[in-house]
Amino acid sequence: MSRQTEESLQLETLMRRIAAVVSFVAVGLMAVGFVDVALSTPIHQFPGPAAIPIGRLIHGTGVAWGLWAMSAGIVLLALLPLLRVLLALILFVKQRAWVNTMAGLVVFVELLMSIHVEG
Amino acid sequence: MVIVLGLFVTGLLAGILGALLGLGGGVFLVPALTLLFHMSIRTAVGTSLVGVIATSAGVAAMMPPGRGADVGLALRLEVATTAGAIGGGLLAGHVSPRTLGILFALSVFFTAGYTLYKARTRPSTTPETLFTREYTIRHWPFGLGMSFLAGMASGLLGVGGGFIKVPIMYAIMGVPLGVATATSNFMVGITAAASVFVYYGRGDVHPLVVIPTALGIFSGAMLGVRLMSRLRVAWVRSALVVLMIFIGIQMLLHSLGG
Repeated sequence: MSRQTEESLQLETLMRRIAAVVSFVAVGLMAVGFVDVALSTPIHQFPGPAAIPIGRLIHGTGVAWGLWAMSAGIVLLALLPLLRVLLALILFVKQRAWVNTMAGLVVFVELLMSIHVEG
Repeated sequence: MVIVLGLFVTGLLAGILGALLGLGGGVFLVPALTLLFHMSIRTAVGTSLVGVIATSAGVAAMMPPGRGADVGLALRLEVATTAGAIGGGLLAGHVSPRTLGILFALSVFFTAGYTLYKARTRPSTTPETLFTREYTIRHWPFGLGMSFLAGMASGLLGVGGGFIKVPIMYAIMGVPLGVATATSNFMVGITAAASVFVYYGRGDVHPLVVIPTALGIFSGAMLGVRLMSRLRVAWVRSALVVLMIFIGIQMLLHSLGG
């Protein structure tokens, strides 16, 4: 097996582990928050409240715990593609695969800009 | 409680199909949320975007080693898709959505036909596998061009484009079907992540709707990955062609009716 193929498989394994950990933490937060909200107030009105803006989510003050956990889970899940692109970028730099590095950089900057727009 | 269960089941079905066919699932979710659950289109799209990321994450977390996305290919095509989405935004005022819808439906029919043609003309001496590391990517300019168009359609028509990326990678660029679906899953996750924060910031992401749907999608995507190892290339290809024809007809009717 060539060095490049071996490194690609390593990236795949690392990405899979990170995706698993981040996804399960995010899903856990969402589920716990949902159960907390469902137990405290009967859910009969949809779509219900909007997710907490990221700024308030970071400070966490004056926010019901259940809604905070649900919103944090959603944001964490939404950040996963950014993390996967970042990991790929690091590997491509290590491999000196410059075309892929440039492509990854463009996509990474685009994702960062989309979060900045929200912020 | 019935609505919560309904959202979970809808998500579960979207997740299974998304994982098997390399789609985000938005093409099923948005109509389901608006027509069955009477959600506003903005809430439906916001929910669908989180759902697309959940499909992408579920597939990435469960894919066995050696069956993951071709990350380099995904990122290169994603640049063209992004450029297309920007181009679509710039063109929005100059090209009527009706004309673009018809053009896009025609390109979907063409791709479906080409996928079938490739399957029929393939030499029977070389058995086709869903996943392999030994392949050479062909027709880069055409693949990039079609990804650009998929991005443009994404910006103008509000579709994710996974259903067009998979056949382009498979039938035209020579990527094995399993790798193409995994790569498409990775790409649609990135595309959705680029838009989801805009919807999140506008208050169009509602956790009480998103969470049962996303939990269903996540479970469905994991189930879909397990099912994939038991499926034959021909079944996945047939399902993809049927879906493309269905979407093409829908787009054509919508465009002609509008």
